[in-house]
Amino acid sequence: MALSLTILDQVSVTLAGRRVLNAVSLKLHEGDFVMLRGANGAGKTTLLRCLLGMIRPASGSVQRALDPGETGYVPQVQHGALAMPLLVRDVVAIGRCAHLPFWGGLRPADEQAVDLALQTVGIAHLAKRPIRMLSGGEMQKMQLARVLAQQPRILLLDEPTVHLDAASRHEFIALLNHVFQTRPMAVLLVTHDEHAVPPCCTRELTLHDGGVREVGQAPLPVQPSTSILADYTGSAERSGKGA
Amino acid sequence: MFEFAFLRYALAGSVLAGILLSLTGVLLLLLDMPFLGTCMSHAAFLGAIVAVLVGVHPLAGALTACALAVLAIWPVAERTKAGANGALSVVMAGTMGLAFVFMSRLPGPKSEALTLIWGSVLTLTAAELAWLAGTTLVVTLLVIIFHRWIAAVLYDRDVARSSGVPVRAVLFGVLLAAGATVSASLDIVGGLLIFALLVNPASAAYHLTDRLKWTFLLAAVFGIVSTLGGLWISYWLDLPAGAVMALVSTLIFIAALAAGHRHCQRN
Repeated sequence: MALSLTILDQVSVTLAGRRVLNAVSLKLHEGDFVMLRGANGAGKTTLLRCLLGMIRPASGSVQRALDPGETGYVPQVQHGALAMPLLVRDVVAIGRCAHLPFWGGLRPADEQAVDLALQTVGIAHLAKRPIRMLSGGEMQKMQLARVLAQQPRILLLDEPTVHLDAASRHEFIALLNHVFQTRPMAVLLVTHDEHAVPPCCTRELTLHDGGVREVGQAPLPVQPSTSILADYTGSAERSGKGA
Repeated sequence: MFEFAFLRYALAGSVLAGILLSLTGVLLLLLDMPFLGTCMSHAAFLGAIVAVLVGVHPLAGALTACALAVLAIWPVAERTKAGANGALSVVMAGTMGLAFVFMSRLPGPKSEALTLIWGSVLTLTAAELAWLAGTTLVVTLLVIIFHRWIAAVLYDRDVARSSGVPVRAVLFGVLLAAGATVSASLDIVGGLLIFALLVNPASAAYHLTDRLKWTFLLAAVFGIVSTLGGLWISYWLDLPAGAVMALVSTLIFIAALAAGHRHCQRN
Protein backbone atom coordinates (compact mmCIF):
# COMPACT_ATOMS: atom_id res chain seq x y z
CA MET A 1 0.00 0.00 0.00
CA ALA A 2 1.26 3.51 -0.87
CA LEU A 3 2.67 5.57 1.97
CA SER A 4 0.35 8.26 3.40
CA LEU A 5 2.28 11.52 3.27
CA THR A 6 -0.32 13.88 4.67
CA ILE A 7 -3.62 13.33 6.38
CA LEU A 8 -6.25 15.96 7.15
CA ASP A 9 -8.59 14.45 9.71
CA GLN A 10 -11.90 16.25 10.35
CA VAL A 11 -10.21 19.63 9.94
CA SER A 12 -12.30 22.76 10.49
CA VAL A 13 -11.00 26.29 9.97
CA THR A 14 -12.74 29.54 10.84
CA LEU A 15 -11.41 32.79 9.37
CA ALA A 16 -12.82 36.21 10.37
CA GLY A 17 -15.84 34.53 11.95
CA ARG A 18 -16.67 32.44 8.86
CA ARG A 19 -16.37 28.64 8.82
CA VAL A 20 -14.20 28.10 5.73
CA LEU A 21 -13.45 24.40 6.13
CA ASN A 22 -15.92 22.13 7.88
CA ALA A 23 -14.70 18.73 9.08
CA VAL A 24 -12.60 18.11 5.96
CA SER A 25 -10.78 14.80 5.70
CA LEU A 26 -8.21 14.15 3.00
CA LYS A 27 -5.37 11.67 2.58
CA LEU A 28 -2.53 12.13 0.13
CA HIS A 29 -0.48 9.06 -0.73
CA GLU A 30 2.70 8.73 -2.70
CA GLY A 31 1.65 8.42 -6.35
CA ASP A 32 -1.60 10.41 -5.93
CA PHE A 33 -2.35 13.22 -8.36
CA VAL A 34 -5.36 14.99 -6.90
CA MET A 35 -7.19 17.89 -8.51
CA LEU A 36 -9.22 20.14 -6.25
CA ARG A 37 -11.78 22.52 -7.69
CA GLY A 38 -14.11 25.00 -6.05
CA ALA A 39 -15.64 28.43 -6.45
CA ASN A 40 -13.84 31.59 -5.34
CA GLY A 41 -13.81 31.72 -1.55
CA ALA A 42 -14.64 28.02 -1.23
CA GLY A 43 -11.53 27.50 0.90
CA LYS A 44 -9.12 25.92 -1.56
CA THR A 45 -6.18 28.10 -0.57
CA THR A 46 -7.08 27.70 3.11
CA LEU A 47 -6.90 23.94 2.67
CA LEU A 48 -3.49 24.28 1.02
CA ARG A 49 -2.28 26.52 3.82
CA CYS A 50 -3.41 23.89 6.34
CA LEU A 51 -1.36 21.30 4.49
CA LEU A 52 1.61 23.68 4.48
CA GLY A 53 1.26 24.16 8.23
CA MET A 54 0.59 27.89 7.88
CA ILE A 55 -2.91 27.76 9.40
CA ARG A 56 -3.74 25.98 12.62
CA PRO A 57 -7.19 24.35 12.40
CA ALA A 58 -9.88 25.20 14.96
CA SER A 59 -10.52 21.47 15.30
CA GLY A 60 -9.27 18.26 13.74
CA SER A 61 -5.68 17.34 13.01
CA VAL A 62 -3.08 17.58 10.26
CA GLN A 63 -0.58 14.73 10.24
CA ARG A 64 2.51 14.87 8.05
CA ALA A 65 5.02 12.09 7.49
CA LEU A 66 7.40 14.67 6.10
CA ASP A 67 10.51 16.57 7.14
CA PRO A 68 10.79 20.36 6.70
CA GLY A 69 11.46 21.14 3.06
CA GLU A 70 9.77 17.98 1.73
CA THR A 71 6.65 19.91 0.71
CA GLY A 72 6.99 21.78 -2.58
CA TYR A 73 4.71 24.75 -3.10
CA VAL A 74 3.86 26.54 -6.34
CA PRO A 75 1.75 29.65 -5.74
CA GLN A 76 -0.13 31.74 -8.28
CA VAL A 77 1.91 34.07 -10.50
CA GLN A 78 3.55 36.43 -7.98
CA HIS A 79 3.80 39.87 -9.51
CA GLY A 80 5.26 41.32 -6.30
CA ALA A 81 8.12 38.83 -6.24
CA LEU A 82 9.06 39.83 -9.79
CA ALA A 83 10.44 43.10 -8.44
CA MET A 84 13.18 41.30 -6.47
CA PRO A 85 16.77 41.65 -7.75
CA LEU A 86 17.11 37.94 -8.46
CA LEU A 87 17.99 35.86 -11.49
CA VAL A 88 16.01 32.79 -12.54
CA ARG A 89 18.84 30.57 -11.28
CA ASP A 90 18.76 32.27 -7.86
CA VAL A 91 15.07 31.44 -7.47
CA VAL A 92 15.49 27.83 -8.59
CA ALA A 93 18.35 27.54 -6.07
CA ILE A 94 15.90 28.48 -3.27
CA GLY A 95 14.60 24.94 -3.71
CA ARG A 96 17.93 23.64 -2.37
CA CYS A 97 17.66 25.49 0.96
CA ALA A 98 16.41 22.41 2.80
CA HIS A 99 19.38 20.38 1.53
CA LEU A 100 22.07 22.95 2.35
CA PRO A 101 24.25 22.93 5.44
CA PHE A 102 23.88 25.74 7.95
CA TRP A 103 26.98 27.46 6.57
CA GLY A 104 28.03 28.09 2.99
CA GLY A 105 26.58 28.20 -0.50
CA LEU A 106 25.60 25.62 -3.08
CA ARG A 107 27.76 22.49 -3.29
CA PRO A 108 28.50 20.81 -6.65
CA ALA A 109 25.61 18.38 -6.09
CA ASP A 110 23.25 21.31 -5.46
CA GLU A 111 24.49 23.13 -8.57
CA GLN A 112 23.86 19.95 -10.54
CA ALA A 113 20.33 19.61 -9.16
CA VAL A 114 19.58 23.24 -10.10
CA ASP A 115 20.97 22.77 -13.63
CA LEU A 116 18.98 19.59 -14.12
CA ALA A 117 15.77 21.22 -12.85
CA LEU A 118 16.26 24.11 -15.30
CA GLN A 119 16.85 21.68 -18.17
CA THR A 120 13.90 19.51 -17.19
CA VAL A 121 11.38 22.33 -17.55
CA GLY A 122 13.17 23.71 -20.61
CA ILE A 123 14.34 27.05 -19.21
CA ALA A 124 18.09 26.49 -18.99
CA HIS A 125 18.51 29.36 -21.48
CA LEU A 126 16.75 31.71 -19.01
CA ALA A 127 19.03 30.88 -16.07
CA LYS A 128 20.81 34.25 -16.09
CA ARG A 129 17.72 36.31 -16.87
CA PRO A 130 16.40 38.71 -14.20
CA ILE A 131 13.03 37.46 -12.97
CA ARG A 132 11.43 40.85 -13.69
CA MET A 133 11.93 40.08 -17.40
CA LEU A 134 9.88 36.86 -17.30
CA SER A 135 6.44 36.32 -18.79
CA GLY A 136 3.73 34.65 -16.67
CA GLY A 137 4.33 31.29 -18.36
CA GLU A 138 8.10 31.49 -17.86
CA MET A 139 7.54 32.49 -14.23
CA GLN A 140 5.49 29.37 -13.55
CA LYS A 141 8.04 27.16 -15.31
CA MET A 142 10.66 28.68 -13.03
CA GLN A 143 8.46 27.79 -10.02
CA LEU A 144 8.24 24.22 -11.25
CA ALA A 145 12.01 24.10 -11.70
CA ARG A 146 12.38 25.41 -8.13
CA VAL A 147 10.28 22.63 -6.64
CA LEU A 148 12.06 20.07 -8.83
CA ALA A 149 15.38 21.25 -7.40
CA GLN A 150 13.80 20.89 -3.95
CA GLN A 151 12.94 17.22 -4.68
CA PRO A 152 9.79 17.22 -2.53
CA ARG A 153 7.68 14.21 -1.63
CA ILE A 154 4.48 16.21 -1.89
CA LEU A 155 3.76 19.04 -4.31
CA LEU A 156 1.02 21.60 -3.69
CA LEU A 157 0.01 23.93 -6.52
CA ASP A 158 -2.34 26.86 -5.90
CA GLU A 159 -4.01 27.76 -9.21
CA PRO A 160 -0.65 27.87 -11.00
CA THR A 161 -2.20 28.55 -14.40
CA VAL A 162 -4.70 31.21 -13.37
CA HIS A 163 -3.05 34.18 -15.13
CA LEU A 164 -1.66 32.29 -18.12
CA ASP A 165 -2.89 32.28 -21.70
CA ALA A 166 -4.26 29.04 -23.19
CA ALA A 167 -0.98 27.96 -24.81
CA SER A 168 1.07 28.56 -21.66
CA ARG A 169 -1.60 26.78 -19.58
CA HIS A 170 -1.49 23.66 -21.69
CA GLU A 171 2.30 23.70 -21.76
CA PHE A 172 2.45 23.97 -17.97
CA ILE A 173 -0.04 21.16 -17.42
CA ALA A 174 1.81 18.89 -19.88
CA LEU A 175 5.08 19.66 -18.08
CA LEU A 176 3.50 18.94 -14.69
CA ASN A 177 2.19 15.66 -16.06
CA HIS A 178 5.67 14.64 -17.21
CA VAL A 179 7.28 15.66 -13.92
CA PHE A 180 4.77 13.61 -11.93
CA GLN A 181 5.49 10.55 -14.07
CA THR A 182 9.18 10.60 -13.16
CA ARG A 183 9.04 11.57 -9.49
CA PRO A 184 7.72 9.37 -6.68
CA MET A 185 5.56 12.02 -5.01
CA ALA A 186 2.00 13.15 -4.33
CA VAL A 187 0.50 16.17 -6.10
CA LEU A 188 -2.45 18.32 -5.08
CA LEU A 189 -3.41 20.74 -7.85
CA VAL A 190 -5.91 23.46 -6.99
CA THR A 191 -7.42 24.93 -10.13
CA HIS A 192 -10.40 26.68 -11.65
CA ASP A 193 -9.51 25.58 -15.12
CA GLU A 194 -12.04 23.03 -16.48
CA HIS A 195 -9.67 22.06 -19.27
CA ALA A 196 -6.53 21.69 -17.16
CA VAL A 197 -6.88 17.99 -16.42
CA PRO A 198 -3.53 16.25 -16.71
CA PRO A 199 -3.75 12.69 -18.04
CA CYS A 200 -2.04 11.45 -14.87
CA CYS A 201 -4.74 12.82 -12.55
CA THR A 202 -5.89 10.03 -10.25
CA ARG A 203 -8.63 11.76 -8.24
CA GLU A 204 -10.77 14.82 -8.71
CA LEU A 205 -12.35 16.59 -5.75
CA THR A 206 -14.56 19.63 -5.31
CA LEU A 207 -14.73 21.91 -2.31
CA HIS A 208 -18.21 23.21 -1.61
CA ASP A 209 -19.80 24.62 1.56
CA GLY A 210 -16.61 23.88 3.47
CA GLY A 211 -16.65 20.16 2.58
CA VAL A 212 -14.72 18.02 0.11
CA ARG A 213 -16.57 15.75 -2.34
CA GLU A 214 -15.09 13.14 -4.67
CA VAL A 215 -16.00 13.78 -8.33
CA GLY A 216 -14.91 10.54 -9.95
CA GLN A 217 -12.08 8.39 -11.09
CA ALA A 218 -9.86 10.03 -13.67
CA PRO A 219 -8.17 8.34 -16.65
CA LEU A 220 -5.18 6.07 -16.09
CA PRO A 221 -1.73 7.68 -16.11
CA VAL A 222 0.21 7.98 -19.34
CA GLN A 223 3.89 7.20 -19.73
CA PRO A 224 6.38 10.07 -19.99
CA SER A 225 7.94 10.82 -23.32
CA THR A 226 11.16 12.60 -22.43
CA SER A 227 14.30 10.81 -21.36
CA ILE A 228 15.62 13.88 -19.58
CA LEU A 229 12.84 13.56 -16.99
CA ALA A 230 13.85 10.00 -16.33
CA ASP A 231 17.46 11.14 -16.01
CA TYR A 232 16.42 13.66 -13.41
CA THR A 233 15.85 11.09 -10.71
CA GLY A 234 17.40 8.09 -12.36
CA SER A 235 13.99 6.44 -12.20
CA ALA A 236 14.12 4.96 -15.66
CA GLU A 237 12.03 2.02 -14.60
CA ARG A 238 9.12 4.36 -13.87
CA SER A 239 9.43 6.12 -17.18
CA GLY A 240 9.84 5.05 -20.79
CA LYS A 241 11.74 1.83 -20.12
CA GLY A 242 8.87 0.27 -18.32
CA ALA A 243 6.43 0.83 -21.15
CA MET B 1 43.28 67.13 9.49
CA PHE B 2 44.07 63.49 10.49
CA GLU B 3 46.12 64.55 13.53
CA PHE B 4 42.88 65.13 15.43
CA ALA B 5 41.45 62.02 17.09
CA PHE B 6 37.89 63.31 16.78
CA LEU B 7 38.30 63.55 13.00
CA ARG B 8 39.74 60.06 12.73
CA TYR B 9 36.81 58.76 14.77
CA ALA B 10 34.40 60.73 12.59
CA LEU B 11 35.88 59.28 9.39
CA ALA B 12 35.85 55.72 10.69
CA GLY B 13 32.36 56.16 12.09
CA SER B 14 31.10 57.55 8.79
CA VAL B 15 32.46 54.59 6.81
CA LEU B 16 31.03 52.05 9.28
CA ALA B 17 27.63 53.77 9.48
CA GLY B 18 27.52 54.02 5.68
CA ILE B 19 28.00 50.25 5.37
CA LEU B 20 25.74 49.28 8.26
CA LEU B 21 22.79 51.52 7.40
CA SER B 22 22.82 50.58 3.72
CA LEU B 23 23.01 46.81 4.34
CA THR B 24 20.09 46.98 6.77
CA GLY B 25 18.34 49.35 4.38
CA VAL B 26 18.46 46.76 1.57
CA LEU B 27 16.81 44.20 3.85
CA LEU B 28 14.05 46.59 4.90
CA LEU B 29 13.49 47.90 1.38
CA LEU B 30 13.19 44.45 -0.17
CA LEU B 31 10.91 43.27 2.64
CA ASP B 32 8.76 46.26 1.65
CA MET B 33 9.05 47.63 5.18
CA PRO B 34 11.11 50.82 4.93
CA PHE B 35 8.80 52.32 7.57
CA LEU B 36 10.20 49.76 9.97
CA GLY B 37 13.52 51.62 9.80
CA THR B 38 11.82 54.94 10.47
CA CYS B 39 9.88 53.40 13.30
CA MET B 40 13.09 52.05 14.84
CA SER B 41 14.87 55.37 14.46
CA HIS B 42 12.04 57.18 16.25
CA ALA B 43 12.02 54.56 19.00
CA ALA B 44 15.81 54.94 19.37
CA PHE B 45 15.43 58.70 19.50
CA LEU B 46 12.76 58.41 22.20
CA GLY B 47 14.93 56.00 24.20
CA ALA B 48 17.96 58.27 23.93
CA ILE B 49 15.96 61.32 25.08
CA VAL B 50 14.61 59.40 28.08
CA ALA B 51 18.16 58.23 28.86
CA VAL B 52 19.41 61.84 28.85
CA LEU B 53 16.50 62.80 31.11
CA VAL B 54 17.35 60.13 33.68
CA GLY B 55 21.12 60.64 33.34
CA VAL B 56 22.38 57.52 31.56
CA HIS B 57 24.21 57.15 28.24
CA PRO B 58 21.87 57.83 25.27
CA LEU B 59 23.08 54.67 23.50
CA ALA B 60 21.81 52.54 26.40
CA GLY B 61 18.41 54.22 26.15
CA ALA B 62 18.31 53.85 22.36
CA LEU B 63 19.16 50.13 22.58
CA THR B 64 16.53 49.49 25.24
CA ALA B 65 13.87 51.37 23.28
CA CYS B 66 14.76 49.48 20.10
CA ALA B 67 14.57 46.14 21.91
CA LEU B 68 11.10 47.08 23.19
CA ALA B 69 10.13 48.29 19.71
CA VAL B 70 11.21 44.93 18.22
CA LEU B 71 8.84 43.15 20.60
CA ALA B 72 6.02 45.60 19.81
CA ILE B 73 6.57 45.56 16.05
CA TRP B 74 7.14 41.80 15.75
CA PRO B 75 3.47 40.82 15.27
CA VAL B 76 3.13 43.51 12.60
CA ALA B 77 6.35 42.55 10.81
CA GLU B 78 5.33 38.89 10.73
CA ARG B 79 2.31 39.73 8.66
CA THR B 80 2.64 40.03 4.95
CA LYS B 81 2.97 43.48 3.47
CA ALA B 82 -0.66 44.62 3.53
CA GLY B 83 -1.38 46.84 6.49
CA ALA B 84 2.06 46.56 8.05
CA ASN B 85 3.25 50.02 6.99
CA GLY B 86 0.05 51.65 8.28
CA ALA B 87 0.52 50.10 11.73
CA LEU B 88 4.20 51.08 11.76
CA SER B 89 3.28 54.67 10.91
CA VAL B 90 1.03 54.82 13.97
CA VAL B 91 3.84 53.54 16.22
CA MET B 92 6.21 56.05 14.58
CA ALA B 93 3.89 58.99 15.22
CA GLY B 94 3.39 57.93 18.86
CA THR B 95 7.10 57.54 19.63
CA MET B 96 7.93 60.88 17.99
CA GLY B 97 5.25 62.67 20.01
CA LEU B 98 6.49 61.09 23.24
CA ALA B 99 10.10 61.98 22.39
CA PHE B 100 9.24 65.67 22.05
CA VAL B 101 7.18 65.61 25.25
CA PHE B 102 10.17 64.19 27.17
CA MET B 103 12.48 66.65 25.43
CA SER B 104 10.39 69.54 26.69
CA ARG B 105 11.03 68.26 30.24
CA LEU B 106 14.82 68.37 29.88
CA PRO B 107 16.27 71.03 32.18
CA GLY B 108 18.57 73.77 30.87
CA PRO B 109 19.86 74.06 27.29
CA LYS B 110 18.75 71.13 25.15
CA SER B 111 22.01 70.77 23.21
CA GLU B 112 22.40 67.02 23.92
CA ALA B 113 18.84 66.36 22.81
CA LEU B 114 19.34 68.43 19.66
CA THR B 115 22.47 66.39 18.93
CA LEU B 116 20.28 63.28 18.96
CA ILE B 117 17.97 64.88 16.41
CA TRP B 118 20.62 66.15 13.98
CA GLY B 119 23.51 63.86 14.82
CA SER B 120 27.02 64.82 15.86
CA VAL B 121 29.62 62.69 14.16
CA LEU B 122 32.44 64.91 15.43
CA THR B 123 31.71 64.03 19.06
CA LEU B 124 31.87 60.27 18.51
CA THR B 125 33.76 58.56 21.36
CA ALA B 126 36.04 55.51 21.16
CA ALA B 127 33.44 53.38 22.94
CA GLU B 128 30.66 54.44 20.56
CA LEU B 129 32.94 53.75 17.60
CA ALA B 130 33.75 50.28 18.97
CA TRP B 131 30.03 49.52 19.35
CA LEU B 132 29.39 50.70 15.79
CA ALA B 133 32.27 48.57 14.45
CA GLY B 134 31.03 45.49 16.31
CA THR B 135 27.46 45.95 15.03
CA THR B 136 28.68 46.45 11.46
CA LEU B 137 30.81 43.30 11.63
CA VAL B 138 27.98 41.16 13.04
CA VAL B 139 25.34 42.40 10.57
CA THR B 140 27.71 41.99 7.60
CA LEU B 141 28.64 38.46 8.65
CA LEU B 142 24.99 37.51 9.16
CA VAL B 143 24.07 38.80 5.69
CA ILE B 144 26.94 36.79 4.13
CA ILE B 145 26.24 33.59 6.07
CA PHE B 146 22.49 33.57 5.61
CA HIS B 147 22.25 35.08 2.13
CA ARG B 148 20.40 32.02 0.75
CA TRP B 149 17.76 32.12 3.49
CA ILE B 150 17.50 35.90 3.11
CA ALA B 151 16.99 35.60 -0.67
CA ALA B 152 14.25 33.01 -0.11
CA VAL B 153 12.38 35.16 2.44
CA LEU B 154 12.69 38.26 0.25
CA TYR B 155 11.34 36.31 -2.73
CA ASP B 156 8.26 34.87 -1.02
CA ARG B 157 7.72 33.99 2.63
CA ASP B 158 5.37 31.06 1.92
CA VAL B 159 7.73 29.59 -0.68
CA ALA B 160 10.65 30.05 1.73
CA ARG B 161 8.73 28.29 4.52
CA SER B 162 7.85 25.35 2.28
CA SER B 163 11.52 25.15 1.22
CA GLY B 164 12.59 24.56 4.81
CA VAL B 165 13.74 28.11 5.60
CA PRO B 166 13.10 29.28 9.20
CA VAL B 167 11.18 32.38 8.08
CA ARG B 168 10.27 33.62 11.56
CA ALA B 169 13.91 33.48 12.66
CA VAL B 170 15.05 35.39 9.57
CA LEU B 171 12.42 38.11 10.07
CA PHE B 172 13.21 38.40 13.76
CA GLY B 173 16.90 38.65 12.87
CA VAL B 174 16.19 41.48 10.43
CA LEU B 175 14.23 43.32 13.13
CA LEU B 176 17.05 42.91 15.65
CA ALA B 177 19.57 44.05 13.03
CA ALA B 178 17.44 47.12 12.31
CA GLY B 179 17.26 47.99 16.01
CA ALA B 180 21.01 47.54 16.55
CA THR B 181 21.82 49.46 13.36
CA VAL B 182 19.70 52.46 14.24
CA SER B 183 20.95 52.58 17.84
CA ALA B 184 24.59 52.37 16.81
CA SER B 185 24.23 55.00 14.07
CA LEU B 186 22.13 57.52 16.00
CA ASP B 187 25.15 59.67 16.82
CA ILE B 188 26.25 59.92 13.20
CA VAL B 189 23.19 61.36 11.47
CA GLY B 190 20.62 61.76 14.23
CA GLY B 191 17.14 60.36 14.74
CA LEU B 192 15.41 62.53 12.17
CA LEU B 193 17.76 61.96 9.23
CA ILE B 194 18.82 58.35 9.75
CA PHE B 195 15.95 57.24 7.52
CA ALA B 196 17.64 58.87 4.53
CA LEU B 197 20.73 56.69 4.90
CA LEU B 198 18.65 53.57 5.43
CA VAL B 199 16.55 54.06 2.31
CA ASN B 200 18.47 56.13 -0.26
CA PRO B 201 21.62 54.01 -0.83
CA ALA B 202 19.52 50.82 -0.87
CA SER B 203 16.98 52.30 -3.29
CA ALA B 204 19.74 53.64 -5.56
CA ALA B 205 21.42 50.22 -5.71
CA TYR B 206 18.07 48.53 -6.35
CA HIS B 207 17.58 50.68 -9.45
CA LEU B 208 20.97 49.72 -10.88
CA THR B 209 21.21 45.96 -10.62
CA ASP B 210 19.24 42.73 -10.87
CA ARG B 211 21.57 40.78 -8.58
CA LEU B 212 20.96 40.59 -4.84
CA LYS B 213 24.70 40.42 -4.10
CA TRP B 214 25.35 43.55 -6.15
CA THR B 215 22.42 45.32 -4.50
CA PHE B 216 24.11 44.85 -1.11
CA LEU B 217 27.57 45.79 -2.43
CA LEU B 218 26.43 48.86 -4.37
CA ALA B 219 24.29 50.03 -1.45
CA ALA B 220 27.33 49.77 0.85
CA VAL B 221 29.42 51.82 -1.60
CA PHE B 222 26.67 54.44 -1.91
CA GLY B 223 26.33 54.50 1.87
CA ILE B 224 30.06 55.16 2.31
CA VAL B 225 30.03 57.86 -0.41
CA SER B 226 27.03 59.50 1.28
CA THR B 227 28.54 59.58 4.76
CA LEU B 228 32.14 60.40 3.79
CA GLY B 229 31.06 62.86 1.09
CA GLY B 230 28.63 64.49 3.49
CA LEU B 231 31.30 64.75 6.18
CA TRP B 232 33.80 66.28 3.74
CA ILE B 233 31.34 68.84 2.33
CA SER B 234 30.09 69.78 5.79
CA TYR B 235 33.69 70.23 6.98
CA TRP B 236 34.57 72.66 4.19
CA LEU B 237 31.25 74.50 4.04
CA ASP B 238 30.62 74.53 7.81
CA LEU B 239 27.27 72.79 7.55
CA PRO B 240 25.68 70.14 9.83
CA ALA B 241 27.25 66.80 8.86
CA GLY B 242 24.15 64.63 9.29
CA ALA B 243 22.02 66.88 7.12
CA VAL B 244 24.61 67.01 4.32
CA MET B 245 25.00 63.18 4.45
CA ALA B 246 21.25 62.86 3.96
CA LEU B 247 21.39 65.31 1.04
CA VAL B 248 24.29 63.50 -0.65
CA SER B 249 22.43 60.19 -0.36
CA THR B 250 19.37 61.82 -1.93
CA LEU B 251 21.47 63.08 -4.85
CA ILE B 252 22.91 59.58 -5.33
CA PHE B 253 19.39 58.17 -5.42
CA ILE B 254 18.27 60.75 -8.02
CA ALA B 255 21.33 59.97 -10.16
CA ALA B 256 20.66 56.22 -9.91
CA LEU B 257 17.03 56.77 -10.82
CA ALA B 258 18.11 58.67 -13.94
CA ALA B 259 20.72 56.07 -14.90
CA GLY B 260 18.78 52.98 -13.79
CA HIS B 261 17.06 50.39 -15.94
CA ARG B 262 14.04 49.45 -13.88
CA HIS B 263 11.87 51.99 -15.69
CA CYS B 264 11.84 49.57 -18.65
CA GLN B 265 10.57 46.77 -16.43
CA ARG B 266 8.48 44.29 -18.32
CA ASN B 267 5.79 43.59 -15.72
